[in-house]
Amino acid sequence: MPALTKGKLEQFAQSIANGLTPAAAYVRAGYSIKGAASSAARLLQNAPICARIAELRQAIAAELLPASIRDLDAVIQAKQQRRELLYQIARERGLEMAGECPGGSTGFIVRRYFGHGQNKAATPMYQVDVGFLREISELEEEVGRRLGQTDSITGAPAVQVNVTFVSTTP
Amino acid sequence: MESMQRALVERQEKVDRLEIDIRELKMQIELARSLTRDEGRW
Repeated sequence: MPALTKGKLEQFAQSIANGLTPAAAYVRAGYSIKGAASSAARLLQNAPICARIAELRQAIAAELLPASIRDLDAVIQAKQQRRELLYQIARERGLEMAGECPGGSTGFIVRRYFGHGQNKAATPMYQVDVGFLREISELEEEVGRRLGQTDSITGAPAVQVNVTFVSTTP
Repeated sequence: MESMQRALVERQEKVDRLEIDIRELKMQIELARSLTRDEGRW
């Protein structure tokens, strides 16, 4: 589609395509500032003008896309380097902990895998098993209830339960 | 034009995946650090 025949309308369309507000584009095209917003809104309902704006926007995007792709390539490269470095740190820490896992004999520490793909397969981690702690707490409460030893004010169990933990760590 | 847009989307997705990986690795490292710091507590 060729440029709009009226110079002011073409200028208006170009300004809109470049991101100006309708009122600003209207004034920049050489029209009066008085009633600019409503007049610009009317122009934007004109089909040929809208088509021209869409065409200009597409042309601008086509110009910007290669640069955007190059920018993203640089971002990807930087993030890949960062990931590799962090992966190396995590793996070294994971290996250190596999040798001697603090608290491994209590069973509170469990082996988990984070990440996905290559990272997941290669980097075991150890984590406090909150679910296990909760189970023990519930067991303790249940025993307290059965023995009628529940604290009447707080509802907390007043009985000590001895539990033997089995290590879940390697 | 379409192929370039597709390439852009693919790259953006790759960036998103890398950000997830980086976030998870940082969590791993932070967790390892906190467990090491708490050694003897368990």
